[in-house]
Amino acid sequence: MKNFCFALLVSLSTTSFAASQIEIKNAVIRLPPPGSTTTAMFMDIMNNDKVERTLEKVSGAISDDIELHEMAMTEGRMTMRNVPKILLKKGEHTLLKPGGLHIMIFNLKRPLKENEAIDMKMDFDRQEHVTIKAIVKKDL
Amino acid sequence: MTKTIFSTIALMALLIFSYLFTKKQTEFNPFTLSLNTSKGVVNLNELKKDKLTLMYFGFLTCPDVCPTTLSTVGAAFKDMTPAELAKINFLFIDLDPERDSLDRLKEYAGYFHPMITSVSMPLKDLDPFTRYFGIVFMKVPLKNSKMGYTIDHSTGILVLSPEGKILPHIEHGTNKTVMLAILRKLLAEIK
Repeated sequence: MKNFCFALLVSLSTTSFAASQIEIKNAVIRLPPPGSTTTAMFMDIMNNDKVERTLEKVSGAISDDIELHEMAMTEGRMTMRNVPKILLKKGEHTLLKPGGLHIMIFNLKRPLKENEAIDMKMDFDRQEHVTIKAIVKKDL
Repeated sequence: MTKTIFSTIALMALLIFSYLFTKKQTEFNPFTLSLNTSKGVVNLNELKKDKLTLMYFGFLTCPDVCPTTLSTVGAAFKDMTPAELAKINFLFIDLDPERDSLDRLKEYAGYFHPMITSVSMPLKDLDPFTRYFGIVFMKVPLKNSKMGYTIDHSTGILVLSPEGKILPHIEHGTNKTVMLAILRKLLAEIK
């Protein structure tokens, strides 16, 4: 009953999306400058589950090339690497934010518009998935 | 006797000549290098006169760091007066000549602020240029990524005085307010 109420509450909110125990909030996509077909998506993923979960894949109509990437500052140099999955610790928020983990979107099929809501499908382990709406923002 | 003197002089001449020749070849001067920019061909010696020269090194498929920095710079410039901007050069120097063209760089940089000048140079110049200014960059292949490769790079904004002296750089992540304060302080020092 508690889970049902929780899911209902979450589904009624427009900026929050959930798949059973995983809740996604504040999904934003940076508006790329004209001429650029590369951008990134950031969000707050809360894992309410009692076990560690993983984000495995993200897909959407705006691009065929969407990957999970992480960034780090190493010896004064920014490094970026694609990762096969993003670990979501149990009972914690995993923040995908500038300078850190993000979902990289490149080879955009069309220009994006500011404040546009973009559908993205997030695939987690245990074959769970949820479709979210990420808002295109000029400044993050 | 004269033969010995003659051959000694000839040898000395050869040595001096070869020294000067190789010295010229191995000495790279980023200030006299002709730079291909979105605003024409320039060199740093001309550009830096009486101005503060800021240089940021990035590339077009950088999804996060480069747009963040250029966005902050653009926002800071929008708050500055024409008189202040007249004393600043801002160069966005491309680290990925394989993929990035000057036209696309110009369009990209122009979105953040018209004052940002894009620069495209071949790798053979990019290597010594960045090394001279203490900027590090590296092409890194990415396995299982459609990107193919990415470019690891230093993220600070390099600052040069009108004399070409390297001043403390502006760190990545500096917000607009702090950046404005830094720029204004630097401008006051070059008056």
